[in-house]
Amino acid sequence: MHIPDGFLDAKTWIGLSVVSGGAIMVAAMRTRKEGDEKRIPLMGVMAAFIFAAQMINFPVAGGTSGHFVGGVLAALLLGPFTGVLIMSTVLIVQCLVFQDGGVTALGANIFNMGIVGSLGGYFIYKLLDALLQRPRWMSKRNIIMIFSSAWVATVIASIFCAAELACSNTVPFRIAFPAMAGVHALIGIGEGLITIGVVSFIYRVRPDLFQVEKI
Amino acid sequence: MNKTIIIPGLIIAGAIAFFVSPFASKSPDGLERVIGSADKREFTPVEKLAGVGLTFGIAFGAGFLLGKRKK
Repeated sequence: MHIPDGFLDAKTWIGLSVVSGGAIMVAAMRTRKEGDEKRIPLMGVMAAFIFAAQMINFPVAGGTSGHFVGGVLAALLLGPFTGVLIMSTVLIVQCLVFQDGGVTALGANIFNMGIVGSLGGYFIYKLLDALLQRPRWMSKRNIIMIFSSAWVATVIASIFCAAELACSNTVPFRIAFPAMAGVHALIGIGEGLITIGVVSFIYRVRPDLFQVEKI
Repeated sequence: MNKTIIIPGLIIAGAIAFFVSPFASKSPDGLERVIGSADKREFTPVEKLAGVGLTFGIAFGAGFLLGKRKK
């Protein structure tokens, strides 16, 4: 889902760069305000893990592949604002060092995968949490919530991506929307399963690390 | 905390980058399929491992700076 250079027009990439820059500043201030020193090593490890996991493209239908995004995972483990910072770090390294995603499209990629992926996914999780009356951690209903929030965040991020391409007159929305949402509905299944796998593993070994109940 | 989180976490991330990523699907991803662009350089496992280290360092540094409470 990393948009390369040349596919977004100036108004779109400048606008999204401003929005993402502002969101990163807010996320940094919130992370600083919370000031939990326990998070320091976790931020590094989570960013390194998401960076590595995003390299593993898995095949989906029709000769298309997809990869883990990790926004919901970071948000559940470290909180949504720290999640935005982690995703931004991953996307900046991918862009500047590995040419994965364009420099001009960095703001859009941070918006789609960092802000929608992490903050949006966390919001969906908390909404489901309220609707399902706060089920116990790692109960069946909680696992469904984690899967659903990861899946919905992936699909919504892909719809934003399609809208950005359409706003830039790169691909008409009537083509970009079904293509992106359709493929990412499948990729989202992988996202949900990987998120559940990692969350349940960490919960088994270090249940104290989860921030989700505290925010 | 450092021993139980940093070392195993970095070993897992490094192992994914070094040993697993070469077997990742080479097919274009969803966006590349839509925009018709899949022209990417393939990085070596060592370069990917360096990327894991760099990402860890930047995020750890950011966490270190932000994790300190104002006095």
